[in-house]
Amino acid sequence: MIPLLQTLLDGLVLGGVYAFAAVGFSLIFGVLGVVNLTHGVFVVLGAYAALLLHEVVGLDPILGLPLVMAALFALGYLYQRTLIAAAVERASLVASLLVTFGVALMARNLLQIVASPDVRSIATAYSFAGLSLGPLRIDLVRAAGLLTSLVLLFGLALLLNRTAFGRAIRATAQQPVGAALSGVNVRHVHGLTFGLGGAFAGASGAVIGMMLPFTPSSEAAWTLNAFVVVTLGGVGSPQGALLGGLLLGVIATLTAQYVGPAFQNAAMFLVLVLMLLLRPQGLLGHAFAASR
Amino acid sequence: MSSPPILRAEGLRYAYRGVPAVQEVSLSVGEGEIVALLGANGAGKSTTVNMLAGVLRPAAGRVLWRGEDITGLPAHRVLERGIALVPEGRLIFPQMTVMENLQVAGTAPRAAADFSRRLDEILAIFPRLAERRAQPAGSLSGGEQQMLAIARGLVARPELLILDEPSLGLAPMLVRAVFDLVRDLNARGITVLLVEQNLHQTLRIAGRGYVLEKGRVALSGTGAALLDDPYVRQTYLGM
Repeated sequence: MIPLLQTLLDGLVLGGVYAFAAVGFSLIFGVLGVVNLTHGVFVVLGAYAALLLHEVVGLDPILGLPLVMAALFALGYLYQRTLIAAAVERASLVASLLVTFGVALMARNLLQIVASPDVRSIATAYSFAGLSLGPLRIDLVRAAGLLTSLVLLFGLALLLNRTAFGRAIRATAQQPVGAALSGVNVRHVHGLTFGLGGAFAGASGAVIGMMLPFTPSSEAAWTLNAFVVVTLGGVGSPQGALLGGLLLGVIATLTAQYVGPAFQNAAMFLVLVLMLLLRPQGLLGHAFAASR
Repeated sequence: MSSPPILRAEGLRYAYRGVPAVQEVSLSVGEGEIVALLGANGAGKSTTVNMLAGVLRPAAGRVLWRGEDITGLPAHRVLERGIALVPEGRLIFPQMTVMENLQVAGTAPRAAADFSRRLDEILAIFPRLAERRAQPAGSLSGGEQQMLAIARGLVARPELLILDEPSLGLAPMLVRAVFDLVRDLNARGITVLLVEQNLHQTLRIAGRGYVLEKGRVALSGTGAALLDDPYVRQTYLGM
């Protein structure tokens, strides 16, 4: 019984971070309709930025989150307003798939030159400390990562549902022409939404960097993770990402524990295919779909 | 025309992927007028007003607002000048509440300063919306959605309100309510450009009108003159 509970706990912790790592992708897809294949690059950039801050300035990755998020927000905004907007406006949404794919390839190779292809991880002072919950154990780093993920996911939900900026984002997602006629600067909101997605991806990267090893080519895995999470949970909302992330985390750890670590990806794709067959819109559906 | 024009469109042209929708449209709207823009389906009415409001960028021609060239400005900046378009098909935000729909419009710089007072005024004009303020807009009836779209257009205190087929798909009683509302808003000092297929009712409240055909202005004149025009009577009224 205890090993099962421990596995479930590990899965939920991992799942919370998976959700955090996917929510930016989900938001961008839900609002702009752009499948951002550069998503994993933003995650990995966040990890390297946190590593840099930690090694050069000695800043804890979690305390450094505001800096990482601000930098990747700016990067995301500029990226959308230039390359992605040009692709979508001159050609189509599908063109953005090609553009983001190409940029991801280039960014990964550039990162391999700048940061080397070596495996990195961020070792904080509390990296080897743990907490005990009765017979269950959780690493302090993972607990901190999970807490950070949940707080920021909750913060994003509040931002979307309770603020004027959030209303502008939802209005733009549901009805862009109606939003423009209501005085919303739709292009700016698209840029800001992309920036927000990039900031959350980067923040998740900083947290992931403390928990898991990473290399420049990890970006592909994190884009894939986002894809699966969104397919499971549903597009466009932090709630959907959280549900999808937790499910994926539990499935991954249960499989690793009881079937074998080699079968993790197989189980993930099995669930993905089942989901696409049974409920392609995800468990919570598309947050803005009724208007599409 | 009784007053100098506040809006002038000159030689507007637009094509969708090479298919011309508007070939040559010039029109003007004077302060305080109700001007009708009439024509059959596909005549280019919506394309024309979408160019006026900044939703579409004209391929040729100019839009002048109080003498200033506003051609090609995006919609949110046209709204700042005081021109609001209530679009065809309403384009409300279905998964947001009635209140949130109005709040989105209330964030525009032109509207933000006195939004709460403006909201009270608007909810007094539309008591139905006041009752349903917490409901998702998508759950409203067609007539209520149209009211919401008009209310949303009024939030920024427009000087010119462009209504694109507000009576489309509404029951006859509601159509009359919409026309009464338009007349009422005009009496409060809002200039109106009314796009309609419903010639009879429109020309009764409109001072002047333009009839579009295949993307061009085929006829223009006062409401009464157009109603008496043998061509209009034959083509559009079946008389």
